[in-house]
Amino acid sequence: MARTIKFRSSDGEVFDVEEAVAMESQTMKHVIEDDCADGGITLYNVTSDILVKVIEYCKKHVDAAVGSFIKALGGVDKDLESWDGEFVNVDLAIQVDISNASNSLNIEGLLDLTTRVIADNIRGRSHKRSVRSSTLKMSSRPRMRNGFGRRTPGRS
Amino acid sequence: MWEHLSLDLLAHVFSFLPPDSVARAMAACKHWFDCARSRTPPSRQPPWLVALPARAARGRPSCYAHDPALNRWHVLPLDLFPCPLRLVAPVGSSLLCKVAASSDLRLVLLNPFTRQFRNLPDLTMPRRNPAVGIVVRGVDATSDSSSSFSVIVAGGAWGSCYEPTVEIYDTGPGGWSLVGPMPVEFAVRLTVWTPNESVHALDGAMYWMTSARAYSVMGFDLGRRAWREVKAPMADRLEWAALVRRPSGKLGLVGGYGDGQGTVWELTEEDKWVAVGGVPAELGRRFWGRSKSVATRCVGGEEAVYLFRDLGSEMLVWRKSSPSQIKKKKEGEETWEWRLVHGRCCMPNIPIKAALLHPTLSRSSFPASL
Repeated sequence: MARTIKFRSSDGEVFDVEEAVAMESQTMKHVIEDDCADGGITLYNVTSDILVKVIEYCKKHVDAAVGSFIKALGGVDKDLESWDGEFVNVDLAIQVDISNASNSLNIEGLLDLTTRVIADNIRGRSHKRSVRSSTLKMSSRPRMRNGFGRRTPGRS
Repeated sequence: MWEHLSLDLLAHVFSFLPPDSVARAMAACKHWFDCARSRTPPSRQPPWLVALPARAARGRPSCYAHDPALNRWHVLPLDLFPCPLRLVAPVGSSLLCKVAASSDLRLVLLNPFTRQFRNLPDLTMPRRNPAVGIVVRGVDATSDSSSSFSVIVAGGAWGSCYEPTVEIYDTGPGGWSLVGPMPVEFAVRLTVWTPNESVHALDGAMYWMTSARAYSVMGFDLGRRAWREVKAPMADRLEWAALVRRPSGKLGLVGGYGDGQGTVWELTEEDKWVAVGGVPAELGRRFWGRSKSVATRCVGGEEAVYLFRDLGSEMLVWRKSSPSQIKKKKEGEETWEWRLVHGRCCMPNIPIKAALLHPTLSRSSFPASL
């Protein structure tokens, strides 16, 4: 029977996660290897709805690595790629939260996947569209001085 | 939502964006502006062609940059420096230039995108027109800022003599030091006949091309401090040639003769040249067809090779196929494709010296002192 580790989210929910799945996180890998995971691990900055998604990603990738010879030969697993594509098909706000969680838990694949999606959202936007989506006021926008930006005389 | 992205995460997001999207993102709010300005993630974008006039040109001094993703030219003013500069070589995301007005070599490090520049200290002795080579040691992994590099200067003229010595500049200690002597014949050829495109290959040697017919390649082994000469392929038939660094890290040579002909060779470990690519006949006819009198120039690196004549004319680019095109071909096979790109229109056909670099809008990648 595979060893399981208890993870507690910031809102108090407890999840039993197989050790192999937990080790997808480099941060957790070090905690487990140092024998500090016996009493369970509390993640103060990850809520339960985000932790569910992170565990789902890690479990899928562990299962795919075990069953796949393609990856061992250095090829690309098309099914896993399309699963990843569906996995990130969520609200941008959730993307940002998953990205933060993967950054603090140090899950490289999930970090790259989510930041790439966020970058695709920003790519090609005009700066006006970026300002509208940002929550900060107009007065905190800097004037552009480099060769790409436009000067906006008369505006603060 | 966006305020929940930490600086590290935001920098990671920006690393996936091309420079024009980063520039637009910087205008969104101060947080994004500060992040892009202060962090230098490793570049995942294709390199840009950056060109400076090869001789005095009318109008204010400018630098021209080609964005390969949008196929668009940008003009970046170089009025930040008091006198005209001539491009020597790319150094990471900056350019090493020399002061045009000075007959002795005076070097300046310049980032035309962030408008930063810094003078390198004077050489140990005055040299006119020596060969200059760059070794980039990559971005410092422990911080998100400056790259470290070395500049190797060989030969040059002093008074009425040739200076048969090599000196090196390191960003670590921050000064020039004499490395040792070199064969006088090499010093003469490197001073008189090199267009100064150098390649630092994986075998640890710095290579320069000399264009005294026939073409030949001078190599300086940085570890053993030894010089050698390698004959270029079809050396006496080539009408134009340039050195590039291949994706494998080996030395590459791009050259051609006659109309519509261009080949890419790679130097093997047994010092033999192997042809690895060539300009397709139809594209070659379109590129070389119109103006046969203007010399062909070439710059290249591990990600792209550009053939060009001057600023206003079309350019031939050899680059890795885009991901969507790779999917159509056999999986696992890396393919490169040739295409024509338009020159900088509405500009007189001024001769240029060009380099490939990954532009950055971050000020932290520029060395704080030299």
